Amino acid sequence: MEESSGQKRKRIIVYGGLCLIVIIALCIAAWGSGIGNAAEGDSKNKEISADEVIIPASSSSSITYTSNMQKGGVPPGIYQGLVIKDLNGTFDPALAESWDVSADAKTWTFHLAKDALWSDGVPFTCADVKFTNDYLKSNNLTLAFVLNDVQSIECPDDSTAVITLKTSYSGFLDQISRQPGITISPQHIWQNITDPQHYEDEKFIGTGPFVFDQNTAGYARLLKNDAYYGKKAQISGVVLKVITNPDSQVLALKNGEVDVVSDISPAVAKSLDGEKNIAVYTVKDTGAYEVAFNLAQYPANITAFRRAISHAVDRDTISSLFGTGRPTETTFLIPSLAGKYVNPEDVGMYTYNLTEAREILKNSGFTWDGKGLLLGPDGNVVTLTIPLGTKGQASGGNQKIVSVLKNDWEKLGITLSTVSYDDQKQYKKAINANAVFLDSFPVTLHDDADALTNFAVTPLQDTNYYNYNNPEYNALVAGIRNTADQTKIMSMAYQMQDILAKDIPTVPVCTSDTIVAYRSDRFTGWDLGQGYYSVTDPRVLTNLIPVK
Amino acid sequence: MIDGHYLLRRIGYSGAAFVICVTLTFFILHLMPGDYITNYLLSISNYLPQEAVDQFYQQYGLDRPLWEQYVIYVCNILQGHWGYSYQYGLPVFPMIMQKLTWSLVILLPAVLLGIAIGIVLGAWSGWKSGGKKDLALFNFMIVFRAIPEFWWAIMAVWVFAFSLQWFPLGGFTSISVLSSGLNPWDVLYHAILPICLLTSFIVAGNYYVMRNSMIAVIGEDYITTARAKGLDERAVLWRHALKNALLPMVTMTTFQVAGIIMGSVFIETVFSWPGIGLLTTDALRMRDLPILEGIFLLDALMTIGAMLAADILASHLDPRIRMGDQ
Amino acid sequence: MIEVDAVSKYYTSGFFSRIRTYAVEDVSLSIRRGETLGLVGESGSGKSTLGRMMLRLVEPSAGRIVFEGIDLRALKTPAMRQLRPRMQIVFQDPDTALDPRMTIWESVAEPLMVWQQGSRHERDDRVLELFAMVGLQPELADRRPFELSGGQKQRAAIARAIALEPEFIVLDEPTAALDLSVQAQILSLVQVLRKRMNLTLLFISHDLQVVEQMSGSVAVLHKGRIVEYGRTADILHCPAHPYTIQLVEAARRSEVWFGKQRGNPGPGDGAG
Repeated sequence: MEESSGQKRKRIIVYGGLCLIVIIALCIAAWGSGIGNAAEGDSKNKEISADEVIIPASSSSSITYTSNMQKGGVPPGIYQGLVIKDLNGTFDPALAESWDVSADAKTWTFHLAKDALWSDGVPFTCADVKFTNDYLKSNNLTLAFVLNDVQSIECPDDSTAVITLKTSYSGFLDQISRQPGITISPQHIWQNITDPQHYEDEKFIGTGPFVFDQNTAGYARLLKNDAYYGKKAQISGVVLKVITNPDSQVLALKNGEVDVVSDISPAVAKSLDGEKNIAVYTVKDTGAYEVAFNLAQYPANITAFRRAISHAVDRDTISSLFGTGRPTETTFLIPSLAGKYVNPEDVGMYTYNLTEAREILKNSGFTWDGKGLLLGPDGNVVTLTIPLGTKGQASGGNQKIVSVLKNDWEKLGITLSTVSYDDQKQYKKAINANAVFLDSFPVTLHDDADALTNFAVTPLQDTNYYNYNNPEYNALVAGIRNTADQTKIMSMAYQMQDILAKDIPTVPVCTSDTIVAYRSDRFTGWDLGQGYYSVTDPRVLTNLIPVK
Repeated sequence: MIDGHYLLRRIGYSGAAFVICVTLTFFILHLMPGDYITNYLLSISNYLPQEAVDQFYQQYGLDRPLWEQYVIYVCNILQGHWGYSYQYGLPVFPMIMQKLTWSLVILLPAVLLGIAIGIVLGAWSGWKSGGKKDLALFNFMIVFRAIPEFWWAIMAVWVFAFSLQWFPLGGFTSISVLSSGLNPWDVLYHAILPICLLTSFIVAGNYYVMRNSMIAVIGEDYITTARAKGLDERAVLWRHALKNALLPMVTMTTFQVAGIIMGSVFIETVFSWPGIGLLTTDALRMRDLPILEGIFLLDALMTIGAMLAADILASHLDPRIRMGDQ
Repeated sequence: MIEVDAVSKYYTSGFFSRIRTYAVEDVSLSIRRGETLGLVGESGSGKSTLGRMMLRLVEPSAGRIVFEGIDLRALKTPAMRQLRPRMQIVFQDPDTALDPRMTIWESVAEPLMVWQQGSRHERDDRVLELFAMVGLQPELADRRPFELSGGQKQRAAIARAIALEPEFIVLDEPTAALDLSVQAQILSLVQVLRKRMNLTLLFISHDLQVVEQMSGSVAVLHKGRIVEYGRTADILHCPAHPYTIQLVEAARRSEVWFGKQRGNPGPGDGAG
């Protein structure tokens, strides 16, 4: 009897003990990993200075990098390419100070920066450029696709790189500088690494205006590169702080925990209005939303139908729904961005006019039944389904466009429905099976003739989203690819825009701007104008000046 | 009580369950629409370079028939190779463990406290069932649960972190970590608010179960018997009511402890605490299959282990459950 | 010895208008020392509630319960607790009446421990003695309720009830959940113990037959009210209330079959 209660006591002690041991073990494991992280930090031990800008990062994966060989995205400002795409339609020098191109746009000669150093002190030379190309390709790394056009890279001397392409390509600079682009990697580091797929880079040796310092417990820190050969940063460093919730990012800005918050909604921007020490600016977008046609599907295969629809897209109303939107007036090119490449004759063609749309439909074999539904030339009711992908979904952009279209197209007798797809592959399939789709490239630069090649069929691109295939247009695309002469490129770009205006493979809708809020009591120099939507763009960061 | 043969058989079943879990996880994940490389390439480029896709498939063996991939996967698991993340190129297991450790800093105290407080409140409420205090608590819990957890979390941040500034807005540590290294007290300071919130949600869940269990038990004759014996109320509660009412909680709490590996996505989102929950959602969004497989594998192991533990524990605590009798 | 004076138990429900539902309404009874009163009624008639109110295990809503001259309702909890050893209860279902987590030894010994009766050694002896009194083998001591037969459990419950040598025991249908053969054994055990310990009993049952065997007087409870109260023999012979007539007739019908079973206790109960 008494023994049994003794046993019970013993059992309680044993279970309690086991639980305690497990808890203690887990705690030790937790601290252990913490201590490991702390040790990493200790090796640097550089005090945070007031001149370091603190920027929120919305996910920890965006500051957990492995290496620049596997992925394009690494901490900003560490790695550089040969040139930087300038948002005014030209290219700025980066590791290449200047460049020449042969008349056939096949051989590109880059004159490299002579005093560029890797952040560990090793000089940068042409060998690194050659190595980057060879290494990506010999190790079958994903990013190698960006350099597919490159036949070989030769180094006549340390500061000259001669890149020979397989075929002529006037847009080569665009290719290597536009997202994802290619950054140059240090040969002296990577030549010893045999398994780049699974290599964890902890040092990030680059040539850029910033040097990697550490990545610890929700923070990543970059310091100013004092040995940088170009325009040195005036801030002493950049700290990326993980704040996953957008609302918390705004609270952190108000509290002064971070210095800037990007991509805020118009409502939030309004609420920040009048807030002390906080300023807001708007970055004009470089991309656009479009109502696009799949020319392989009825009724989008009828040119008159597309022309009628081009007058049934109420771009003003849609862009007002965006809050930060502005209607776009040309096919694919954005006048304020593409400047001289825009054919002025083709601006302002897509006026919103339902009567005109009706007229065009009536004159090209469309009729209406008793209930007012639109009947196609084949006598059947016209119904349209728009597949919606993940692009533009997060911002609700697609829904805003669809809500306006539904209303207007109903007046034309067209019933419109939508289907959403989470998966890119299925979405692409759905695009191919439907006549109309929405597309949005809120980031992509719609800025030069090269952007127009999207509509072409070329030996490298056997089809396009629009299933648009006009031999005359394709010839022009081949033409601009094969020449480096800017006047020729411009006149061909004008002709291409004329053809697009006639064929209407897509109807431009609007651009949607990015709103940024920053602490005006900390740094100035954020607003660099159109296209600089990213506050971690190295050009923005090097432009910042601390407010003393 | 438990006998050795039964225990062996039970472990055998657990092994079988594990194999089934691994198989199901593998096929469900691999048959899920969408793949990492397409998503990734389309996110960085406006056209899809087919050769890059093919190359990736080849590198990760995704071009082989599915059954062949399955065999390779199982062989790797058995040898302790959990594979490499598509996104990060790093081995999956250490990645998961690192995230899990951070999650546990919040989850472990929250779950333990939540279970303990939930049991105490539930027991008290059930013991006093029908009384004014019980009804007040019960109705409070109903209201608390009716409002989404996310809203409470946002409000807590707004009130305690932003307006009153008692706690930080989020994150693991203060920015001083960059200069002076990790300070455990600082981590604790950052963990308090999320732990309190998560604890209160777990309390609410356990409160209902414990209260119901308690109400059921105090209706039993042996409680009346105990009173008739002349035991004072405290003795009736501690010696008879509580011990019996706790039995249904054993299984439930064991599963809660096992469930913490999945983390708490909303707490991690609101408090910028990038742990296992965010790793899972991120991997799911990116279709990073090796990470998902690793997390589900670990989860299967924990759950199966928890079931085994719950069985053994329950058989020790509840003499009516005799294992291996049949 | 115990007197019930105009006792009622009602439950209120409804939010705006409080509706009273009576379980027991205006019941008066008295039992003298050494006497057994049978309490008969169908399920839901309030007999269990009445039984529990007499021990103040359920709080009466109105009326007085006087035990040996003490008004139970006037007592505070600690004083009531002091009275507990003198009055006990045995329930219908021995499965739920014993704490499933305790061995029957622990269950029987618990009241002794609570009241600190004797040394540990004396208590062990006393439990053994109680086991012997109710006919339980000592080997069963370390078993838990689910490891015993119904009869064994009810014996354990009785042992537990008599452990503190009470004067008054409420037997709440002690045989209703048992096999017929075991019922007879338990009933005779109760009779033996009653004589030996000079117990006063309230014997609750829905079965007139059993009550006739156990008690000299009987009260019939119908819908919370006493409809008939007097000597058992009188009521059986000339029942006055329609409900009692029904009960008596039902008992008569099964008498032949009953008689056979009762005279022939089978070997079914291992503890027997």
